[in-house]
Amino acid sequence: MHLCRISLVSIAALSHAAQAQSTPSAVRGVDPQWAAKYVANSKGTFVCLDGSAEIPFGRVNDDYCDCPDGSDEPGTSACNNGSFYCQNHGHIPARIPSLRVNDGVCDPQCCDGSDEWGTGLCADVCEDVGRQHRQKTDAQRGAETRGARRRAELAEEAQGMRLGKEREWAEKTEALKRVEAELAAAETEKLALEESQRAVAESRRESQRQALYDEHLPELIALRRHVSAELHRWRAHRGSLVLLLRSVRASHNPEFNDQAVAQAISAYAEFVDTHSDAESAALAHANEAAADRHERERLIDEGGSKQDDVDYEACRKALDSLESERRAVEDDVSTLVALLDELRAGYNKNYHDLAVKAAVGGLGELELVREKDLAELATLAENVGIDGVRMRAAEAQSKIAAVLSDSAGDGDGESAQEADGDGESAQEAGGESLDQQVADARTLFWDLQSEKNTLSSAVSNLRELLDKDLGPGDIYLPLSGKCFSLDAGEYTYEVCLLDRATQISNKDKSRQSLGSFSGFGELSATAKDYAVHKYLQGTKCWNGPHRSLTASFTCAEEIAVLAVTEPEKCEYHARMTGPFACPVDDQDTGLEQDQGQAQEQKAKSIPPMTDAAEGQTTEAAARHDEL
Amino acid sequence: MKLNNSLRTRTSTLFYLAATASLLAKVGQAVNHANFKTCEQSAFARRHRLFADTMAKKVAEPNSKNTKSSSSSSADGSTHPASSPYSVIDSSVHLDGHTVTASVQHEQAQVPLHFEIAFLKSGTVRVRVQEVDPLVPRYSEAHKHILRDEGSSLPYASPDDIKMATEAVNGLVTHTVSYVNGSSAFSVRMTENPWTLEYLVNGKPTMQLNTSGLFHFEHLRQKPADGDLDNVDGGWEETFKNWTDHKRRGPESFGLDINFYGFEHVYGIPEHTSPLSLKDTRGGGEGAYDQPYRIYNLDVFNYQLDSPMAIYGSLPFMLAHNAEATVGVFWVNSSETWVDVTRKLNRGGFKQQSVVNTHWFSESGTMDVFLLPGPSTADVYRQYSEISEQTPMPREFALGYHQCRWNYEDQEDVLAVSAKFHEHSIPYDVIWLDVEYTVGKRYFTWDYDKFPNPLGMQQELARNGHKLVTISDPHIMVDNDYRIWKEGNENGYFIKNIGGLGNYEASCWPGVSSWVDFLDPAASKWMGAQYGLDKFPESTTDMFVWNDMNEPAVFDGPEHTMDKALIQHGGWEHRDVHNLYGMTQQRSTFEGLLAREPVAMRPFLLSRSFYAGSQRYGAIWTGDNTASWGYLRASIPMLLSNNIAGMHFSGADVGGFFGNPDPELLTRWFQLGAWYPFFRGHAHFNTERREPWIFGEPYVSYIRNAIRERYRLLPHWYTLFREASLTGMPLIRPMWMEFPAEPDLFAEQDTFMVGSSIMVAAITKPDTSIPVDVLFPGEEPWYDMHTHVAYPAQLTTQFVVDLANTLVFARGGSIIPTREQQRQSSAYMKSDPFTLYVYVDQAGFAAGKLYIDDGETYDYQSGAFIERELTFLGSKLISRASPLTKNTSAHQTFVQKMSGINVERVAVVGLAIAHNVAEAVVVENGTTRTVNVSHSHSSKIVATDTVSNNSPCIVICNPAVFIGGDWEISF
Repeated sequence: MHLCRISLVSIAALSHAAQAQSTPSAVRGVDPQWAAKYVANSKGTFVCLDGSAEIPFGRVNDDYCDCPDGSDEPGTSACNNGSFYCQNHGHIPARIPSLRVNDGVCDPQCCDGSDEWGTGLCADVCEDVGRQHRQKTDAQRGAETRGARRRAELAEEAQGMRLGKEREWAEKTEALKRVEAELAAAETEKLALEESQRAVAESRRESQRQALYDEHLPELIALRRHVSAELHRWRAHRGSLVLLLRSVRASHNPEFNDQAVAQAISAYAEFVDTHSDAESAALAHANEAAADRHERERLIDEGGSKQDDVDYEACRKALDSLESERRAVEDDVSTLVALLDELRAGYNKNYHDLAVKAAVGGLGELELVREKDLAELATLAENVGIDGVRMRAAEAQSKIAAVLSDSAGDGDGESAQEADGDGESAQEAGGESLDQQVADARTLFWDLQSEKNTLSSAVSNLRELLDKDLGPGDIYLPLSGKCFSLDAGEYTYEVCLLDRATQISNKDKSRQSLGSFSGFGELSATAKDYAVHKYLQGTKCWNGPHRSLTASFTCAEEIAVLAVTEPEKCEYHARMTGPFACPVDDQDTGLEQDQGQAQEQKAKSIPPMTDAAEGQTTEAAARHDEL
Repeated sequence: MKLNNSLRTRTSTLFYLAATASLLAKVGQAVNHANFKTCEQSAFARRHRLFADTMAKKVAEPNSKNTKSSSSSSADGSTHPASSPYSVIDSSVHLDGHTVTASVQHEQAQVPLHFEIAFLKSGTVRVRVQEVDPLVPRYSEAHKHILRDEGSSLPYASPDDIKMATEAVNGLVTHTVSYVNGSSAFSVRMTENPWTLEYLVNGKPTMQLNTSGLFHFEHLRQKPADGDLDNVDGGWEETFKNWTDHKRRGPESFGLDINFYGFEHVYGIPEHTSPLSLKDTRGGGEGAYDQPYRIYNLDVFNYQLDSPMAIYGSLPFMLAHNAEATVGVFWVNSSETWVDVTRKLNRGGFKQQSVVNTHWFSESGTMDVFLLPGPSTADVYRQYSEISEQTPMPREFALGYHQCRWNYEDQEDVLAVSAKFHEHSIPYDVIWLDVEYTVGKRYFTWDYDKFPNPLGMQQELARNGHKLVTISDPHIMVDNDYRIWKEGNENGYFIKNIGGLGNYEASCWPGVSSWVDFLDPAASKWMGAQYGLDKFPESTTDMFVWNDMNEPAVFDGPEHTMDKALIQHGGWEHRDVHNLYGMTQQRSTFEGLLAREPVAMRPFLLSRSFYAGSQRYGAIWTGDNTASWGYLRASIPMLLSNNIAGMHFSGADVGGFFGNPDPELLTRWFQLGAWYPFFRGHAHFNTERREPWIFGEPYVSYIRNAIRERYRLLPHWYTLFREASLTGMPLIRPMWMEFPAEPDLFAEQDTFMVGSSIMVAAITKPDTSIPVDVLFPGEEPWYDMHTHVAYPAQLTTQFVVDLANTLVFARGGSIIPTREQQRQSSAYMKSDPFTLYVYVDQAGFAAGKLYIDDGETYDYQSGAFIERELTFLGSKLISRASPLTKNTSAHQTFVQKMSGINVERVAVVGLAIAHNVAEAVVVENGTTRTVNVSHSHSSKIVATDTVSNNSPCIVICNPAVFIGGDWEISF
């Protein structure tokens, strides 16, 4: 579109310049604006336009290039950097590169055939070409006028739409605020009700647990006492064993160098290292009068400390700790017995080491004590019915655990309600149940939440749309998201404005994304080209880039996809038309006119051959259309 | 054009997609070696190499050697003391006219072989070996397709000039056949027991046959009965990957050692990516290959650099060169062939000479080898031209720039690209269409969705002086609604299955296809006729042809080509004629194009595959290269090797087919490509656009300058083609060819000559800050063609070359014609005046040629040309008609047509005369006039804007002498 527009403007500028110019030069191919230079000066010479050389005037257009800037050969092809001016009476004058002079081609730019003066191949067809051109220009202007009108309509529609949308945004923003406030209140209410519901459930669980505690505490106490009794006996054994070994270590005769003894001593040393308080405890134990001790232990076993047996949890704790200690002490005892057992089997009976013999003897005595203790404990257990007690205590434990795990589902209304289903505490006085109240509060909350979300997304979508670059005068506002398509045989191409582009197989209707709208084209770092739309990051090509589509619009009343090509793999180009690519009506304010002026200026400053080249492109494009 | 993939083959079958998906996945990776045979995987090649190893072992263990020693077969003991099992049968040697005949047989296999050794007029010796009484005929028609006039009228020497003498020393019988031709004395010395043959030029041994004892000829035999142990390894059957090759005739290969005595360098036997000077192929030395050079046309996906692997085309012509002589070998056979190269270098050794040993082995057919004695390069090419037709005058536009891409999308795209060239004032001649213009790869059809008006498109291009090329491959889609397939099928024009029944069908671009059997004259004619204006819808005489995939490429065949056991015309197996396939397609197309107009116009066609003889039909290119500096660099030895072998009109895809060149690489490639005989830019569909303007300034200006330089020098290029067509001399030449006695140049390949007067030092590496060394050879000064700075000979100079510049030098003593006026295509330069650049040598002398004809018809054959010999001496330039100019009526008509086409400028560079010449005197048609002379000069006369006056340059302005007339200009 821009190419087209620029060239139109530049041709107009050229035409304007030609009209303003004085008489054409007598020298072939000279642009009228330089005509004055192409007259022999007083010395009979010609000075190259860039001033670099001076040659006899007769060497102008002698088909030999003298001037570095090519200016001495305006009418021949001798200079590669020169240009030739066609007057094109009846049409628009043109400049073409020298390389096209006398090359045997009737250049469309030079409809007067003057560029082929040497070959004589080309007739002057400017009258026809000019008429056609004017017709075409008129037709184009007509189309542009209609397009501009449609554009103006769109702009007006856009303006109305923006007002409407802004109003809608304001209303919805207001509504959103209201809903948000209601939502906050509903949430507070909901939380409070949920808290009450949680508290009720909690207290119910508490009473269940307490009942279980009360019911099962006696079993626990019985168990605790029994374990305590076991522990005291094993502690005594351990003390005795330690003392035996301590005395071996202290009193054996090293002279005998008995391996079994040395081994026992070193193993004992290792034991003491890991049980630093074993010896002191044993000594204390030994020093206490046996009767005192037994009495103390009995009291402990039967009554325990007050704290231990006062409630279920304390008792449980004490029991756990006692069992753990009993296991440890039992382990120690079997370690030390094994140690002494080995000594007994291995020591040299021929050596008369008293300490050793005492220990061996002591071990024998202790074995007797152990048998006695075990018998006592068995009796005790039988009396209490310890196996049954143990079983009941375990059952109680899992019941309690079940109650506790119920509390983990706390806050989950449904499960709480289910649990309450037949609970006697579920029904509150005053008609509506607490659970029903919670359910109602929740429903209200969620309804408001959803309303808020709807409003919020509507508000932000509106804002996003309104804050988006919608082109000058919001021209794209009425069109955003509208889809246009072209059936190109194998595929249908669909472009949804400012939204997405898609390739649809006509065979199986499968769709490939050609990209989502990413922005407009760029004229410069700051200026956008609103006639170019870019759609990026479509489906990735196998072994290639993501598909993309660039849509370029030219002015027309209707929006349409004219052609889609794929000049590079997976990079699609769509030629489209639309009124938003039309010039803005004259009555519009200065912006567009400024652009026009800038282009006119550009046309003047570019080198002579550039506009001819552009003219050519336009012509070529025009011919393609005809093909 | 492209590799074996086709996402875009929209009509392709699922099967086909599945078959190629794995290949497609490898885009950008190296060649898959597993798809192509190594020497060890080709049974006959394996057998010949093993035989060579056995013979080498015999040499190493002299005690076990046959008592019939051949160790003294050469007068100065130069041969290898190997012993061949082949000997001449007693009293069977006869001289009969120009031919010596002999019967030879293996010491064990008593199967006589018939030897013919014949002298041609120029001294070439032809050696032919055939079984006396083969069980079934062996293929012996390759020469009909390869040699001049089907080999039917070779100019044999007069029997009167040939003498044979026989002597017996210590029981060793030697026959010496002498032939004197002018100043050269040629002789062939043949020993009987064992059989060896040595070619002596002026008494000096050059080429030696069977002196390493590697001659081996597998006679045809009965297939061993079932259960018999077959003692010929892979003789009746061999398997490669999933393919088993059943050989109905059994083992039938043959091999021969040809040793170049006194040489260190051999060249030619394209098409490979090896360096110009061929490497050793038996491992060992640094960089040596462990595989022989393979001659077997294949579509090699992502071919690899620096490799002896076979690729698309081949031409079994080899040169050996040393400081005294150049000799050549031409191996005429069309089956799979391998060549091992090894060297024995004896630099500075007493009496011992360097030898290049070559070992040639072919799978089937008969032996037919030409020994070209030189001794100068020009002599070798004269001898080569005597047996093989040389490059004809091309259509002139074909020398311009060609713009191609897989694919220009549609008609609009084509015209828009064309318009862009005009917009940027970049000349070009031809725009190309790859396979996508067709309906589902059915050649000779148009996809009217994309090309609604092909005729209008061609007319629009033609109006602007441009031509169109469309692709047409040899595979024909199997589709009963497709006229071409239907006609081909009905007439039996397709290659047949193994056993000869039914069309061979396999996969290529269109999916299931059959292949035209171009060996069948009727099929060839029928296919050629499809290019007729009445047959190819909406074609015009401005449309030309591209034959691709004609190795032939078969997506699901062994080594991506045809099964060797398929049956072709005459009942021959594809194995016998494989290497002819591409060339016979070219011939069919050429003849079809020739016949499409009432007055024959020179055809233009491009082919990917080629063989000996292809040079007659058109241009070739080096196939699917890659956008990297390595491929840019490798293109030079590849094209030089093609030129050495006579395949002159060849080029490489400028910019690289695969991948995206960066602006520097693209610019350098255009700057190099402007010096390729065939100059085309091409790109894969997966690449980004890279037409000359894509990267913007400054690159577009650099590229424009490179292309314009090509166009300026079109008169020079056209004159070079004239020379090539007459003498067989390469268009682009290795440095040694112009400076044959400078051993430093024997392996040079970054610098090359365009004709005899222009030296191009290619920039083959990135980074413009890295200096390039140029050695200026010879004795005369060289002139930078852009700046006119002179460089003395025998000096190595360092250049830092920015991207705007190139290193191109004119050789002192030459005159180079140009056309300085720029146009949009070569068509529009026809009436433009000429400029003559005179680059003087130290003696102030220069000479050159200019050849002009109408650039399109065959009228030049009846004299319609202008050929001028230009000489400059002292301060006078003289133009005279060449001796070939005959004053026929066709000549007069042409001269009349050219009247008014003048010399607009003569630039004399390097003439060290201080006097201030202001005028020159022109003498033409008996009248005398004076013209201006200028000393400083503007940018007008050079391609780039940088002009220095370091060398004196006298410009005679507008002498306006007729280009076709006699005249003198002096000052």
